[in-house]
Amino acid sequence: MIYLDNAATTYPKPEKVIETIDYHLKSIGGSTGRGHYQWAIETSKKVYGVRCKVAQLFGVNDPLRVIFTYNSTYAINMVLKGLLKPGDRVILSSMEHNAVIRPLRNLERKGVKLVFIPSNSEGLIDLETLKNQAQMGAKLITVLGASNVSGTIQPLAKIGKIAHSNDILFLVDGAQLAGFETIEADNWHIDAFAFTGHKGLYGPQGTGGVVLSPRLAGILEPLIEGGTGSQSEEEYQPDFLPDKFESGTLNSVGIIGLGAGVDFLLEMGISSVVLHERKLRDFLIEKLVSEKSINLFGPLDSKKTTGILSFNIKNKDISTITNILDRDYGIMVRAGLHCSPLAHKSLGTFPIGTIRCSFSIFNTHDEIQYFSKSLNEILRRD
Amino acid sequence: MILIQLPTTNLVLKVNHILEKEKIPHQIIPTPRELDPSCNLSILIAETILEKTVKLLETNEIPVDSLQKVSD
Repeated sequence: MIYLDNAATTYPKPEKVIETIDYHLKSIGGSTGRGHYQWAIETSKKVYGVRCKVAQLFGVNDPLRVIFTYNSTYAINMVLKGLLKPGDRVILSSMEHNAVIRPLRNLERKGVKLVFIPSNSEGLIDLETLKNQAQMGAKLITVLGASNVSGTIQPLAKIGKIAHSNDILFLVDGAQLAGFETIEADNWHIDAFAFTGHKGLYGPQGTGGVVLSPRLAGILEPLIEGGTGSQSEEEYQPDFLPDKFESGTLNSVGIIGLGAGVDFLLEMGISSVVLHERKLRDFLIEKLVSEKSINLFGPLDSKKTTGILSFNIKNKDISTITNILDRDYGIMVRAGLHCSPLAHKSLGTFPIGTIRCSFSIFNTHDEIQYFSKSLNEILRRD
Repeated sequence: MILIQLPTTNLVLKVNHILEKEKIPHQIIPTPRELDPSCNLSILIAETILEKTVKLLETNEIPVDSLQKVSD
């Protein structure tokens, strides 16, 4: 079987992640921040250690500003719903995922105003329009760090500068970018960088979170409240980090597994992973570009993208093609809209969508060769 | 022995991380309930390393609730 849907979730997971989770499930009980016995303290120490790794990876100077959630969607909802009030103006890119669009459309019904910034044909945000809109004032700018459809990476440092100079908070949906680029959240004036653990960080599903700036953390209302293992004598939610935003039992085993994923990534070297995935993308472009019935979307220059390539095929149903790839060739790729109708509208692929191939460090040149050969055979079937 | 009381459990974990990095011997223990009813943890260190520890806490801008002498 060949798995090319790593933008959905990376597979396989590194042995180190599997061993770490296995060890903690078998050998260490306890819940982080709950209990005073050895296992609880050991678990708490390990989770704190993962905060340190995540803080370093995303360029924040205090691990307590790392808030763990269950995925990036949860983290994004936490920021949007805890911050925005009727009358607030939000500026967003036209490449956003439904993780951002759906909570914002819901908030729009309650009086939040949305301003969409157009993108070019490669999915890159128009910085001039953004600058002009930012000068008119807003509460928040929100941008998808890297597109889950085209792989397009947005210029976050430049956008952060625009946000900062206009005193606007800046949220980044980093679901696809985390693990693919060294993020400097503090230096780039990112107030909230939402991430998921099970994609480019090679951790298990059910992990993720957000790193917050002190100014946002101070004003943000928690999405949920409850037990934090701290100030147990109080009936009111603590206002210190990370407890303010981490009510209920954390997925300790998953978070510790995520830490092992980050270790794996750093041992491999982010730049090596990026180079590998971009080489695979370039190779696939080389194979597909000569096929006249295929339209490629997003940048052809892989230096502008993550390891994602989207395409569709003239006069062919893409779901049928991916089904044949799966059933007859054992190749798993994703066809459709990828929970991103807005991005597909921007790229001109709505409502049909695209076939998306997405790579990880575990994919090989031979697999891409087999994929393109298989696709070629399918296209030549009667 | 000196008991270092900190405002939150995560600050205890942060101090633990700092002390581990500096190889300063310490223990994480439950805060005696007569000192604090919040189910928090505290850090226990030998009196001989108090000065060095306090310096580290200051350098890392760690807010401390109290430093108390306790029996071994």
